[in-house]
Amino acid sequence: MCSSLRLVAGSKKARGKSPPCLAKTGRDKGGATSLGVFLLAALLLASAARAETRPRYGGTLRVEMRAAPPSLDPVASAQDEGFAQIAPLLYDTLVRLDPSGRPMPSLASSWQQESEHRWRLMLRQGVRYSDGSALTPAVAVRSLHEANPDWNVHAIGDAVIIECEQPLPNLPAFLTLPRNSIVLRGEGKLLGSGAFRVSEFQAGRRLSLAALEDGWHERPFVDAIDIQFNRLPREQMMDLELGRADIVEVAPDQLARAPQSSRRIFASDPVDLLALRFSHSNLRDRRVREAIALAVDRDSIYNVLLQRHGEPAAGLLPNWITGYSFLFPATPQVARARQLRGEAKQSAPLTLVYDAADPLARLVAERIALNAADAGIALKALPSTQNVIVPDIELVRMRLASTDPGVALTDLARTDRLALTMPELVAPPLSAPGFGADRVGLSEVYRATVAALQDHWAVPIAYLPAACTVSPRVRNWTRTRDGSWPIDDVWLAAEAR
Amino acid sequence: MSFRRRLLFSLALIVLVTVGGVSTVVSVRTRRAFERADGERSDALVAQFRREFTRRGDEVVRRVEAIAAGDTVSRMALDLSHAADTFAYVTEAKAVADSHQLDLLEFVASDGTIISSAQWPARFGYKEDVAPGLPSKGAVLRLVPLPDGATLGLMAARTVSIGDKPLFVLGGQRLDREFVSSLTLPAGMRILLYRNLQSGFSAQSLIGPAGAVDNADRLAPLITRVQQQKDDADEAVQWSADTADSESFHAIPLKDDSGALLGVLLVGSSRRGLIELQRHIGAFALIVGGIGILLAILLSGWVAARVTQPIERLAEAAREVAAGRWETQVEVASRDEIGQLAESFNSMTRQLVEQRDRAMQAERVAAWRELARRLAHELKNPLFPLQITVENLLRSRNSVEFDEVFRESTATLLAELGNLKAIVGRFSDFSKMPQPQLQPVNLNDIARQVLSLHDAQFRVDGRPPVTARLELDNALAPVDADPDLLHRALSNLVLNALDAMPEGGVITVRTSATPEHVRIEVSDSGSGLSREECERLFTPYYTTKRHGTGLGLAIVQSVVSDHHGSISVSSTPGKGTTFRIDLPRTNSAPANPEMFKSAMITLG
Repeated sequence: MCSSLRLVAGSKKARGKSPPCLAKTGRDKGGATSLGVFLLAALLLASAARAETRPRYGGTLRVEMRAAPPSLDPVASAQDEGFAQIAPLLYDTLVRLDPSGRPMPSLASSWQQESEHRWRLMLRQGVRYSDGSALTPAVAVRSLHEANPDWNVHAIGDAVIIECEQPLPNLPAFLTLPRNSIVLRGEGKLLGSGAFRVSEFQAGRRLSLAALEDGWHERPFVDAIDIQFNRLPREQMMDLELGRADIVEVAPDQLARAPQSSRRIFASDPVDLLALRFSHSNLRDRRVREAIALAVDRDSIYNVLLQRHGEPAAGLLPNWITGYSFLFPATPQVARARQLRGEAKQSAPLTLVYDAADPLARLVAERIALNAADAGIALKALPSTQNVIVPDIELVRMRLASTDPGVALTDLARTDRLALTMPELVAPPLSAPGFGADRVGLSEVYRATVAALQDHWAVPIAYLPAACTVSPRVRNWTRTRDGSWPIDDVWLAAEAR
Repeated sequence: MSFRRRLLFSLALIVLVTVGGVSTVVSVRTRRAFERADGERSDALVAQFRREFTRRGDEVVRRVEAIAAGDTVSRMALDLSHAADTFAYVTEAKAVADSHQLDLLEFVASDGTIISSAQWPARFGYKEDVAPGLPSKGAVLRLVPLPDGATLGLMAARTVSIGDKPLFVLGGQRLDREFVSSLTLPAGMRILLYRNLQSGFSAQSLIGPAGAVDNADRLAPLITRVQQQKDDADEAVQWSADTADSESFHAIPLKDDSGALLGVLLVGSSRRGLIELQRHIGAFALIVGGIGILLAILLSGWVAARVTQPIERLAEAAREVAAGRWETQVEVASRDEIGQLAESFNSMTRQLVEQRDRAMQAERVAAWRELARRLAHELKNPLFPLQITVENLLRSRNSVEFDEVFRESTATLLAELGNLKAIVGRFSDFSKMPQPQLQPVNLNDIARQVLSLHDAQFRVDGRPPVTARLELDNALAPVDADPDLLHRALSNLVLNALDAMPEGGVITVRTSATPEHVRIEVSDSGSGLSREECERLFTPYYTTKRHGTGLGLAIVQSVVSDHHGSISVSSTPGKGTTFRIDLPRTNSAPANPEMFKSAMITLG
């Protein structure tokens, strides 16, 4: 028996935005003269405020980020840090997730699960790419096939048929991943149907985007976006202070300083996983890996280094996505770790490599080295710039691909940054509150997480929020739970004359 | 070796030894003086460094006190006294340390828990050992743990007492490459720091202003000595084969407040300037010494020449005298011992000449006497028969036998007159020796002819036979000579030999050649000659024979002399006599014809 769901997307105009956050112009009718004077003054002030909050078109939004995706190909760069924030600006997927994590139509106007192994998706009409060419089923088939070679994807009329030998219970959620973006490939070009097109791309340095005037999206308020890659946090803050950037990242340990500054800081829910990845070739003794996992004092890292932002992590997914992360014990067990270390007789110092461009990573790595020393394990924290050929341990930070637990976990399993060994999530859908029947059951996700972590090839440390701060001229920037950029609703204030 | 050379060599040796000795003494004294100066300079540099080190410590104390008195620390201490969370201050130490230019800074709670650490932010919550008396002290050395190991820190601690619980501020500067390079040091001086983080010596633990130190192992003995003795030590280290590439190091042990050795500070002072100055002085001294020695040798040569010149003139004069020029005189140029010697020499030669003249006069008188005696003897022999014959003739004047007597007497008179004529003729011949007519002559032929001529005389009846023997060198080259005169001279020698062997014997005629001469010898096996006889053999009119005129050997000597040759005689009494004639291969006039007039006499 195959369950089916049919959703009908709203029209482009239905998705159109109305001017947000308009200031209220309260009028309180009273009889007192003094009240009248007060109301008059209030009216004047409100008029001025309305003029400042009125959306306006134009301007270039200057963004700086630490990541530096090497390419804009959604298949090749799907797992690269920073690409998940850029991809929605350029590309569309067939399905998108709404703020509550529910799949919503995007390039697909509707979809239907025809069997356990087969889905039919109807393409939206009238969608055009940045060069004016129209979205066709053939383009969608090619994009999906390149991103998922084990799928049998073909077109029937305006419908795209996806078949797979494995059951596809939560295919719509999978289709929201950036790597499943529908792109038009040809003659070395890569075109998307997003609200922006690429003006200039210098890998590792900068990306310039220009707003599409006649795309199927509503025209963004900003004319262009200029993204500077590979900027250190200190450089980003300096550029923000000097007025050379509009949006910069804020490290989690800096969030505690937000109240002391006048900056508006927007922090997502924890969406980054900070974890240790052990070398399969160097650390074959499970007891050493487990000793380190038991020695890590996650609470200290969370309380002090993360300044209580984010979440201690002992599982692979944060609590706000799964609701069960408390089931994974995060309390250090130094005595047990010492015992394991003694049994393993590990004596040679181990190397722990962290991202040299991330100050927080350095602090966490050094703290972990201290915790390991408490367990009798010599661990030397080294920055990635030292070019350790095969580090024993790596401290990796990666963005969760989706707010859907099954999709996020499956994506973690697929990435080689954690090198997990995880069984396929093939369980039937779970009818759980807040989760659709087309999604993998949480119990399966839990069991898969336990199975993935039981050999301690990866040791979760913490979940980190994605945070940014904006310059005063950025208007209507709003917080998102998954850390994505709400560019569509943002406009830039006029330059002061 | 000549006297001049010996004198020159002696003077030069004296100069060399003197200069060498003086140079050695000066070199040793100079080196010691330089080493003393270098030591004093190093001491001054070390004292300067100690002052700089103390100043840095005072600076650390001042900064830590400023931090302890600052608002940040006061607020932190106040919060802690109210049991506030400490996590908010985890990065505070880094910010405060940066603002106060400290490398190391930790805020430590009263129970020793680290609240914030600038050098190791991740170390919050761990314990730090803050000795009770430490906050009241000045700067001390401490071993400070770091994520990548440990470092030495020049640390100071102060207590902030706001509220119930004190807060410790522990700050300082790392003793690392930056610290070493930031020290204000005089030119030629450098500071190396050895961090005593492990037992034994480790080259990686030694750093300098430029980081790792090349050839650090050369400092291992000094560092090891300080590790063992925990006291200052000095040593000079040579970095390469060039002796100027060396440094004097003064090692200062760095100890913490408990006396544990944390490191060794090496104050290096380059010896290049000192050694180059020594080299310069040495080279200058060598050049001056060399020039001095050269001048001394030249002066010695001049002095030796001045000293030996009169002696050489004396020696030359002596050689002249030896060569027969007895009238040689030397110039007397001084009144010293050499002048007296020259005067004595002149006096001696004058006496020699006078004695020679007297001897020649006496010899001439003796020769005349001998000639008179010989002449009388020679003339007396025929005169006596003449007198008898004349007397017989007078007595028989009236006898019947007068005619026969007359005939016999006239015959006798004629015979004796003939003898007288012959005697006079021989004397006349000696006085009229002809000049040799030179032509290539083979002496072997002359020898054969002479022996053949006298062969009959060797076997006279009634006389013991004499055996003639020829020992000729068949390879003998011809010489330029007069064959007749040589024949005559050789005949005289053979006849003398024959006369010397009345009892018979052996006459040997022998020829041979030397590189410059050809030789012909005539030996007999007669009774030999005495020394006096040999010395007078060649004197004219001297003879040892009863009937000789004493002119034979004089004629031989005259012939040999005319051929620029020499004649000598050697005789052994009882065994025989040998006459030896040496003629030059090429007959030319000799440089000193006098020498060919003399004969050499050898007695066995």
